[in-house]
Amino acid sequence: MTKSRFAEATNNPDMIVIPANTELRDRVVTGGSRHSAYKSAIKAAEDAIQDLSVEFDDWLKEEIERLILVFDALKVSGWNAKISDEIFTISHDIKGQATTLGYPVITDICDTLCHLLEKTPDVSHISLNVIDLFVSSIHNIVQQCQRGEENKKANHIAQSLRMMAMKILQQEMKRAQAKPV
Amino acid sequence: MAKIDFEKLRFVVADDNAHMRRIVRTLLRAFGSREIYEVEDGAAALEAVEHFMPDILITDIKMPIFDGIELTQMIRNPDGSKHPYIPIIMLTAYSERKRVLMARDAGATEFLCKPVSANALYKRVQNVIENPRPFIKVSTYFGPDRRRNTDPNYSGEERRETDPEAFVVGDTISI
Repeated sequence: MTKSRFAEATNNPDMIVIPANTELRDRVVTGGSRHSAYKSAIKAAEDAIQDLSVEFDDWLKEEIERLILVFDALKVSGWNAKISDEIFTISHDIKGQATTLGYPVITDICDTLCHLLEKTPDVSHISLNVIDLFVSSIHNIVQQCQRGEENKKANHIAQSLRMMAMKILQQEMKRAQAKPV
Repeated sequence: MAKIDFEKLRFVVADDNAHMRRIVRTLLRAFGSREIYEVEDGAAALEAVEHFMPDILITDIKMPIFDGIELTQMIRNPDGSKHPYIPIIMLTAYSERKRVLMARDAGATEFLCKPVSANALYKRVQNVIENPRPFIKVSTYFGPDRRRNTDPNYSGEERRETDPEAFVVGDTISI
């Protein structure tokens, strides 16, 4: 039965409860309307992001260039730990940014690619054609400016890639389980 | 009624991606913050935290040298760290439950999934300031109380060690 953290601590000699430090709150929380401060802060932030958005296409293109370069290296060297980590890192970076940059569908595609790379027991079994499909889809969607969630064609591509990745993952899981220890 | 004076807040933002740091910096500046230090790896983040003694650390998980989880563990070392009580907001594209629990168990204060929005970031900052939690020190953990809601009238079974679902609050992943 839980009474409080302090009561628990008296019964548990291993546990020390240090009361919440309110110094920061005391220093930065001031008088004034909380709601209007919140609203104006959000408005200012959204405006600032809007101003920044003129750079977003270039940012995304830079990230995709990085992905293409690593994929080119993969085509030459084949799979190794460094390359698979780089592809994962760049896809993960794009996944984190693309929605903010106006391409939620790219976030979905990179999420699928990250999932595939992270969960496949042995990534060297993933065909380079599969990675090529992901890279070229991302590239084409951005080249053709298929923004927003409402874009049917881009969403269809994202969905197809997800289904394909799930199939590959299932096969690879089965293969790993069937492998003699 | 009260508002947060962001001008008095000092942040360290750790993310290996320059675009992401720029977005977070833009949001924080729009909220009113002026002191924002940016770093691109875990080692630089630890150094910045100890040097600048920021009020809040916002960190990515996946970073070079050491990641956000390791960084948090180093900061939440009551014997070796210069700033063990700093509120840490983990900002990451990882959204799986496993990562959230890892962040929580390392001592993160809040978890925020990318894509970051102005609203979500503001609320996390607001929460760490307005609702500071007690710190718990046991042999296996030092950090903010991992139980957000302690109900003094709770009379059910103790689920802390056996039921990870005990940490899901409402419809959001919360730590």
